[in-house]
Amino acid sequence: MTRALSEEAADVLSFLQTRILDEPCGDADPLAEEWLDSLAMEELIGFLEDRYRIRFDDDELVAEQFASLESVAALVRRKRAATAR
Amino acid sequence: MTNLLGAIEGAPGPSSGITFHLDDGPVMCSRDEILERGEDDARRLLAWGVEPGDTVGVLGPNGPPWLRWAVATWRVGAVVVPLGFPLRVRDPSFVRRQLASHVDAARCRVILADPGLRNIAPEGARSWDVDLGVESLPSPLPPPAEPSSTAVIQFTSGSTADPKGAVLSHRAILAAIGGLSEAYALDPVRDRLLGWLPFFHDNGLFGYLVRPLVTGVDGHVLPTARFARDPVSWFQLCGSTGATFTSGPPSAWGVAMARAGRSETLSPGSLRSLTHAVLAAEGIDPALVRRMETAGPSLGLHPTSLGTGYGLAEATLGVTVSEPGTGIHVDRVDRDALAGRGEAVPAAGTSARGVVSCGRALPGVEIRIRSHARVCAEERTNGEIEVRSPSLMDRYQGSVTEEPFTGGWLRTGDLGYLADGELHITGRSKDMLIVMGRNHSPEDLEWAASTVREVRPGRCVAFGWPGSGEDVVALAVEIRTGADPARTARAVRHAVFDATSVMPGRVLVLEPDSIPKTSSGKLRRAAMRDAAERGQLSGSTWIQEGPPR
Repeated sequence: MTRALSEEAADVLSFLQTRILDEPCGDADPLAEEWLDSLAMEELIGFLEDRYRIRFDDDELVAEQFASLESVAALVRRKRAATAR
Repeated sequence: MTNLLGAIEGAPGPSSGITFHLDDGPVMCSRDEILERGEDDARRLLAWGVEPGDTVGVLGPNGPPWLRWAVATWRVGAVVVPLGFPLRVRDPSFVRRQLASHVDAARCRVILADPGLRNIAPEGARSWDVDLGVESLPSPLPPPAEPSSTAVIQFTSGSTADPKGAVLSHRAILAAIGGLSEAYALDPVRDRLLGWLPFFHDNGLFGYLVRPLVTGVDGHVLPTARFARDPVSWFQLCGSTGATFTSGPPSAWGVAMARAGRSETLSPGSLRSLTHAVLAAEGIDPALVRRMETAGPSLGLHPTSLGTGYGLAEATLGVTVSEPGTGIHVDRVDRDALAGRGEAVPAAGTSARGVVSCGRALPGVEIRIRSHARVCAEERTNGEIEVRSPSLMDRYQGSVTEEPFTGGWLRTGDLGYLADGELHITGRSKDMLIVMGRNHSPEDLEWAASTVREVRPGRCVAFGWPGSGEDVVALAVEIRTGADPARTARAVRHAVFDATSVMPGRVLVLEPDSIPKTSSGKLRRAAMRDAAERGQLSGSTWIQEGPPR
């Protein structure tokens, strides 16, 4: 992996790569490529909530938030900051 | 003959019940507790004006409150109306619209809802956590419901605009459970049932709420959301509960098997106790069967423990099941003879298509095939499946234009053939899209796609992508002149996902006037599916490809 990803985005990629996707992503962003189906989205949400000890509200989880690895990462950071406060 | 509560009271076996495996730990509801509590809650329903024959909507995830209010509703002789909702409510307005359509069609007198679903609960819904004192409540309860009276109205077909609910009597439900228990020879001492399908799905409600109570076989329920977050939790729970029977849609088995292969926490023999691992509620891909036969043994799952079944909400639950203990049989037939003449001619090699056997009719159930307006006496002729059974619904509730019965036989709308008395499903003639066991009407997905500005109003078609075992949903849309195709595809995907929680696996963006103009949505969908199958999607400017598989 050559691209520079934020820590959270790298976590998401590693989860998808090891648990969900059947083939290596290479340099592709599996979210931007729209490779996830509805169940994989649920699994990703479950992973993020457990890993970062956060709880999303349903309306935070609209499709727009899953447009790329970095958009998910940004959502996680916002949520963690809000939880820490 | 008795009603559901009578059957629960008279169930054989030790005092059993249902254990819900919730986030905070397991909660066990024993049969005695459930019945006792049901009396108090029945009085609450009476105090709210519910009378025998009235309908009570229940809205919430699988858990003790669902069970509580179902039993109370039956205790007053009223009718349970399971209300469906997506795993996540991203677009409350869409879900509210869908719920309102079912509530109106069923004329729900009272609705009990999980307070966590306040944002979608229909107006006037009560919290299902209510715990008022019962002292001031009316004490005499109505006499037990007649076996012929309605127990459940199950909405599984029809769209939001045109909902159809299967009206099921106590007698029909008990007949369905009796037939299944006999076929599987369920034993209260030996067997344990484990399920995660939602109670608003026939398989969840009858298979894992009603069946354990009526048969005296212990039930274990995993909330659907827990399965979705971590499909391997299903297999883990099999191991920890010693479940002998579990079922799920083939797509779910496929995902859980794939995830299990990469899990670091699943112990190797987790599925060792299963004697019945049943694939049901969707079409079955022979390739998945092979994968399960290959990967199962490492989890302790023997290929002979695999089974199939065919059923539909209009027949309460099951119609056929495969012979327990013999595994899954795949019939190989000539592809062209099946598609052309409608004959299932045994074949081998590349011209053959595998069709999974769904087994024989359950005790008390009859099936026959109708082809070209004629009932076929001979085997291996493909046609519409018709069912006659004591487990059939009385009628549809809702705006129904077509009579579903012919002389006591239910026309299922599904296609198949019989071979050696075993039913083989070749297609579904209804348009319903099934994703992870949940039915979605194409109209609802098309409606959501139509809300995208770049899409020409009403020019959307939703259909099952050919060769995907139906669980990949495709949307074809006509684009407005000048709009950007890639952006349109993305907007359609997002709009459909946010409204229905179904992520379309394919979006086809088409030039104006590419979708056939027929008055029937059914014909449009068939035409698009056919074109996709032959790779002839004329005028398609942009196809969003699915994940690498």
